[in-house]
Amino acid sequence: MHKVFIFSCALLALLAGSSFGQLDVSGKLTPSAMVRVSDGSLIDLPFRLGNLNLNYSLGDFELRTTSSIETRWQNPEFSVDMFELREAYLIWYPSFGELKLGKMIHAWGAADGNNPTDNLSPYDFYYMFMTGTARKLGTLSASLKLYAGDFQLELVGIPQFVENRIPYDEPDFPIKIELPPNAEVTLPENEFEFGGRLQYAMGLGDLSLSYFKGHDRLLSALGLKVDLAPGNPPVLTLKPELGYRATQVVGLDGVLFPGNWTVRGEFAYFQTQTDAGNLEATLFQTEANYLQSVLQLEYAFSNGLQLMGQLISTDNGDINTTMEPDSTFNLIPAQMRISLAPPAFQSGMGTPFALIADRVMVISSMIDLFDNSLELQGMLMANLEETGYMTNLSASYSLIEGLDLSAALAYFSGADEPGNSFKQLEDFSNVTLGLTYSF
Amino acid sequence: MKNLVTTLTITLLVSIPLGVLAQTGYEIAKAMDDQPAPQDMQAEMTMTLTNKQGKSRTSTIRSVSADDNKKQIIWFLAPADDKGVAFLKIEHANKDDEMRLWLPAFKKVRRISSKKKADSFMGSDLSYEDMTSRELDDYTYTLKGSQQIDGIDCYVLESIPKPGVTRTYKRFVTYVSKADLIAIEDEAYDMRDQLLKKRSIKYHKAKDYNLPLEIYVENVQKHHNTRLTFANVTVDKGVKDDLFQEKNLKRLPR
Repeated sequence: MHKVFIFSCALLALLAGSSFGQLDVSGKLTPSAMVRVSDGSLIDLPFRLGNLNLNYSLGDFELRTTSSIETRWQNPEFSVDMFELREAYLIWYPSFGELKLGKMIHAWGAADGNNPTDNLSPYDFYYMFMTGTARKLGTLSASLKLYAGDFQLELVGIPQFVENRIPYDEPDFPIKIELPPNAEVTLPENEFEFGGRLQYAMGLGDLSLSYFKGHDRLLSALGLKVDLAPGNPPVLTLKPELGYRATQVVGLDGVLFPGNWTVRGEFAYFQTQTDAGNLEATLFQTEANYLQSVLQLEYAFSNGLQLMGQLISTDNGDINTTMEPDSTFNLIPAQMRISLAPPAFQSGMGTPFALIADRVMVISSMIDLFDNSLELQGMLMANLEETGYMTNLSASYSLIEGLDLSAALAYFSGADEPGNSFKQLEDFSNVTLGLTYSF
Repeated sequence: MKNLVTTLTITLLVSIPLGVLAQTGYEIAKAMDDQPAPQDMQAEMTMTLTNKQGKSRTSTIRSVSADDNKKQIIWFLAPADDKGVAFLKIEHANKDDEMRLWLPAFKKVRRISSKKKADSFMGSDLSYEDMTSRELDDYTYTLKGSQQIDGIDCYVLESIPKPGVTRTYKRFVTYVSKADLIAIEDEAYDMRDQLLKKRSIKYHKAKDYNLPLEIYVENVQKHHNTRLTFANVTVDKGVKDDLFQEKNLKRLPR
């Protein structure tokens, strides 16, 4: 009810104010369905049925909202939870730049689709295979952007921590993510996050340097709580403590235009450490650093065909995890203690595809035909460290102005090796059919 | 659409003082180039693309240009699936030009190469080169004679890029009204010297300027054409330099 109330108030305010300023309404209806290649069964995951953008501008001020309706085909629940106010923020455009305040999605980085330097907004893993802001979540934040000649400086502050939206216990989601039983999640003690990005426009291209200090968007193990309940024999319970490491990122990204090529690149150096706050437990203290990079090469042919190649890499640096037992640790029988060890390190920030593989190559192509009526895309993603690939072929045809029909085939294949991530994705190979009506 | 403005700037926009009777190709081109041009120009345009089957697609655009069209910002207002996309071009004298696209779905301003000048602008028959100004001294001009175009007595002016000047066209043949010294038609030849595009321009007079009313571009090799019609054209409104900043790509004009 709360969401509907806020949205209704915003809508009424915008309509009332439209006599003074300018109200702009746009949106899309996007019904779609995804079926398995293997047996034709419907993949039961949520999808956005549509979104609505309301922009109201008055002088140098603008209010922007983006809302969406999410549902699923099997057992849809018709409730207010279907409605999501994805963004609602106010912008002021002074002569020197722009100031934004509210719930918004941020986008940094020069590369397309995979941006290690872009860590301000959490990801919505349900939409991990989508592009653009569709796979991100808005957060309450403030942003100031200053323009001075060839320089741009953006400063962002985020007072409230928001984690990635993860499909826990979602049988049809291709990557199984489960919380350990009895796990407790601790939120960061100091939720405030901030970042800055300085961009310089050269004749050769653009170069940007960025910094972000925040928290991982994915959970990692903080430690263990040990409970010994009286009884005969006494009952020993180990309770996993999960949380979000404190992470800072130094990023460098840019675009250059050598000859008729376009080169985009991003490098992000992450330094992360356990942020357990005042948690009383046996702690897994982790300190680690790692580097993620994306190198992108583009070429556009004279017939309109665009080719793009990307190399996505993650390189772990020093990783130190130590266990700091608390007083309850001694309650654990000695023979059990040996098997207790901090779990393997996993990055909690950066481009989501780093979760699938440490070294990935993506080759994609796109062409518009018949006056942009038909758009064809092809993509091959290969795991360079183990045998596995994903292919995606898609077509979108404009039936009439504003109405597009789209079809896509996503096919995963991996070798029969233990832990091969693309093998795990094989059953997710799917065909997606959708309609998009823009208004 | 910007092509309009661009091409106009050098090739089209001209009202010549009657005392200047140009005789050589360069003098004609110089006289055209010396004509008063608006400090800035704002217009709403309708861009209609028509393919060889006769199927059309129409976009509505708003454009603001300044500094002899060296700075230009364009917003797409329709159709709905393109609404909000915006384009910024800034030509520099001593470094590569800047071209940026605002893609609302990605919330990113994407810098694009200014070197791929032959690429089509938003699927139209206008290339990015068509949208940039032709520098007077980049070409060698030859007066090829006279010809009547739609009853208008015209000079036939050939322009060939000078050695070292990178262009995607081998040459242009422009039909210049003798009375007004404005380009009525323009033919662009590809690097094989085959006719690639034909352009014709209609004007209306406002203040001391000949302003575009309609530009029709036909790609004769692809049998495809683009028609740009202008409405609500205003000039010399004192457009500020800071309009041509990334932030304004994100703001739909009022």
